[in-house]
Amino acid sequence: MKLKYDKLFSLLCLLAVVVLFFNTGTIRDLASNGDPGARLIPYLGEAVLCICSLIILFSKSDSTSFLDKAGWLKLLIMLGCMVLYTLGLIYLGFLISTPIAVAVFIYLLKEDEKVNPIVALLMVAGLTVGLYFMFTKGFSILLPQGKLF
Amino acid sequence: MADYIAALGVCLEPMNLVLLFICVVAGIIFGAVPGLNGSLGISLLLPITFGLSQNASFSMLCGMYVGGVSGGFISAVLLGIPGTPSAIATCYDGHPMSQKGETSRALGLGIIGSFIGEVLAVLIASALCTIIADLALMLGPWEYFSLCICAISLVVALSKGRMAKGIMAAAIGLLLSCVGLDPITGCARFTFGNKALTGGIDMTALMLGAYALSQIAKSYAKGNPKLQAFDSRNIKGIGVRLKDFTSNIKTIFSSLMIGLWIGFLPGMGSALSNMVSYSFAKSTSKHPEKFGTGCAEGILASEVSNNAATGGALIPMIALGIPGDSATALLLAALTIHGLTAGPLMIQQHPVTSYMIFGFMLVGAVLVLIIELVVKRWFPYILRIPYHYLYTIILVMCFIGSFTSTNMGFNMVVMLFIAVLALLMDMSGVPMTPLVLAFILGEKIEEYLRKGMTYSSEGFAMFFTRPVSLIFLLVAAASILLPVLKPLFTKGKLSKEWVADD
Repeated sequence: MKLKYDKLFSLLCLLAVVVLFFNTGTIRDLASNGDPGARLIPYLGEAVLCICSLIILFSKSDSTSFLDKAGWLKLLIMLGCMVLYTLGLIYLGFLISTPIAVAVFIYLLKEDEKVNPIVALLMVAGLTVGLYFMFTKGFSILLPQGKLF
Repeated sequence: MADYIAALGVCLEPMNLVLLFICVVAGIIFGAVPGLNGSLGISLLLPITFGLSQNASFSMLCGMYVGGVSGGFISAVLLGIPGTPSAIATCYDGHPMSQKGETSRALGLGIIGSFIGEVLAVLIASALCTIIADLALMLGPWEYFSLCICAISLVVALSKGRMAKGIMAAAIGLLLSCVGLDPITGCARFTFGNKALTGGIDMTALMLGAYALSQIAKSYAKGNPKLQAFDSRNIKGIGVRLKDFTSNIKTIFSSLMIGLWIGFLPGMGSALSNMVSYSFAKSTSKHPEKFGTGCAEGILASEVSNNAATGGALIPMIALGIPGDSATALLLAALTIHGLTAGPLMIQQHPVTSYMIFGFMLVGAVLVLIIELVVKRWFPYILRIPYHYLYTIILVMCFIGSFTSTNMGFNMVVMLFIAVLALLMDMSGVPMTPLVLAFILGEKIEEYLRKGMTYSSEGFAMFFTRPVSLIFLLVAAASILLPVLKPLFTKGKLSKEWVADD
């Protein structure tokens, strides 16, 4: 039997409830004078999430198809690029990882459209340099420096 | 009144006007391009405002908000595709009117309808806000707790037919709001030994992950829409006649009131108001048969109400600290970033700042009117901006935004986690809005609940014995239970009728 998306999500939520339930028990409770304490809302949230997950799990699914096979592949590639860009920003910093990421994102998102390489290069350079100066010099906000540097 | 004039003076300062102008233009582009919207624009602007003054920040955010809602009608009229959900009903008559060769008139009606809705709603909202804030000062933690529960229930109730999914989303939002230190005793919760989580889940990371990253990833996976080219030769002059407005005053007034009311209700922003207003205008019109064929009444009903909803949404945001829609949720976050707490005391303690927000909305509406009337002829060019450049800029801005929000690389990981969660919820049909609202109100709910129980010796009973609190709780219960119970009664009635007929 093929598991529908909503049932799968409910199962994931139930799993999360179990983990969170045991974690809630470890929260230090310093409550006094009628205060129900720091565990009340987490327990309430977990109970509601558990009940809703069970209702969805045992009721008729209204989940429709989300993506075809090619769509799933594209989604995974895009998420993979986002993860790599995150790691790049953390370890290599903004100035190294951003031009590469901009070029990759333009290449991915263009699909079958033609892209003028000069415009794309201007975009890569302009976006990196423009954002860098806007944040660091204009707003005095630091951008990721990179742990390796 | 003196505070209002002082606030308007701040709004008209040259630097603020320039920033407002730039963001209004950006907002119109975000509103016009299908797939983008004003909320996304505001979430991208949030990190930029960290380094700016309060006045400059709100000029930018309000400009994006006003421009984003107004710009939605452009693609609705030109292509029949709503730029934002707030312009869905505009497609019904805007596009047919454009196809009849009256593109200029359709755009003119959209521009002026948006202006009327925005300006009148903001003026009414700024007057009502003070009254509601004064009333709210009489309320205690019991009423505030019930009000927050009522707000979440009203949003959950929108998930008709899949109530469990709506409640599930709210529960996830509530649990996400618990991450970090608890608001009363400061105990660490759900940090799993990670010090970066002690401060809780960052609002900017949540918004960017939920509304920007997940949307772009989904849009790429499904294939970006290919928009057809539009000939701009049909767009000449203002295009509208005075009669278009004088003969539809009743529709304009009813749409204004519907927009204001729906905007006031938490979670029900302009996306709903334009549909309700359009249906109401059609059902009360002398010529309902003309709706859908390109009639002015239909365009005005939709555009006046969706812009009026922005004014309505500002009332609970400023007077009660409860966001009316996702855009006001982001404005609320911006207030927090700048050290302000929205709520009944805000108007008393920071009157100029409070009225400044209304002022920026008013001046923004005037700028939108001027800009849109002047550049109307070039609207088709907005729709030709390639998605691969737009989305790339947005993606890079999202990562920088989440980093600069807390100055920690870990925040980008949180944003990615939220984006994956949003995608999982999307494919399972679980709505996102209850999660966002419960996340925003989660800390307040806990604070009011625990304060309410500490202040009284009656425990939970106090929430049911105070009349205002009880009313809010009854409304909350009714909004959840009625949609579930109604079909059961109808089904019973129908089957009885069927048996009798048989």
